[in-house]
Amino acid sequence: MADPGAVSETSLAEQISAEFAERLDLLEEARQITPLARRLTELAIAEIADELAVTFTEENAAPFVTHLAVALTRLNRFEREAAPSAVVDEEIRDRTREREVIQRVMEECEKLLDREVPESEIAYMTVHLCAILDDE
Amino acid sequence: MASREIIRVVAAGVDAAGMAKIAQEAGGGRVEAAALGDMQGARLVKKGQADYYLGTCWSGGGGALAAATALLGSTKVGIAGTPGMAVSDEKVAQLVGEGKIAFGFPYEQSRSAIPLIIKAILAHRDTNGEEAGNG
Repeated sequence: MADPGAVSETSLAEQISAEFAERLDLLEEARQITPLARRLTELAIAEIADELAVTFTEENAAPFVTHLAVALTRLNRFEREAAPSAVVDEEIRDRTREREVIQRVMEECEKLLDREVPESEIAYMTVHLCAILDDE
Repeated sequence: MASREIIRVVAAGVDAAGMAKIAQEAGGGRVEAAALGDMQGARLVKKGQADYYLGTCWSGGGGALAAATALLGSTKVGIAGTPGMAVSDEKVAQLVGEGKIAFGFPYEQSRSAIPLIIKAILAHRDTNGEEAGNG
């Protein structure tokens, strides 16, 4: 993942930033998300889009993007992680590929968050991603 | 005097269409519910074109209410349930009584949570009149 502070980004990351700018502006201005969480969300979404060859738009990915930004903010603010859900764990039981993609992207986020991304958060991100892929 | 007007509810989040259907059925003819995007739904409530907002995500926390919190303010939103805390009559009545107009809960609790929330809203309206709940 690119350094969130770097000036030049890939065009895919720029597209992602533009697509979700209204949403992320709203959330950041209301302090629902932190600037770091926003940047990590944009970069993570771009990386997942590239890796899975999927197009994320407001129409298909708004809940995923919001969730990701809020979850990364929770971690950035060192708040308690989301409680695990047996329903979610069951939903993604066989979704190894998607979970691995999320895990890999989050490993890069961890370096900037200075905090491990807990399994429960990985699971919620994965179930959101799977919902998008299943609707395609 | 008790208010019997139609309550306008917007549902957003995971399976918003299913949520809207549950809300409408739970309202027994007193609720009109529509499935919308979270920002669109919250804006309608803010403009007074809808009365209440129901939001789900998988965890019931931030994602379900992030847009509503940003647009309506934190005093108007309440988490009704989380994966570790089932939605209850008492919790919902408390939130409605506090003047909350946006409610978040996990998708997995939709079937139980929405009828409880609608019931509490209608009871609150019947007791307090139409000024109740207008954000």
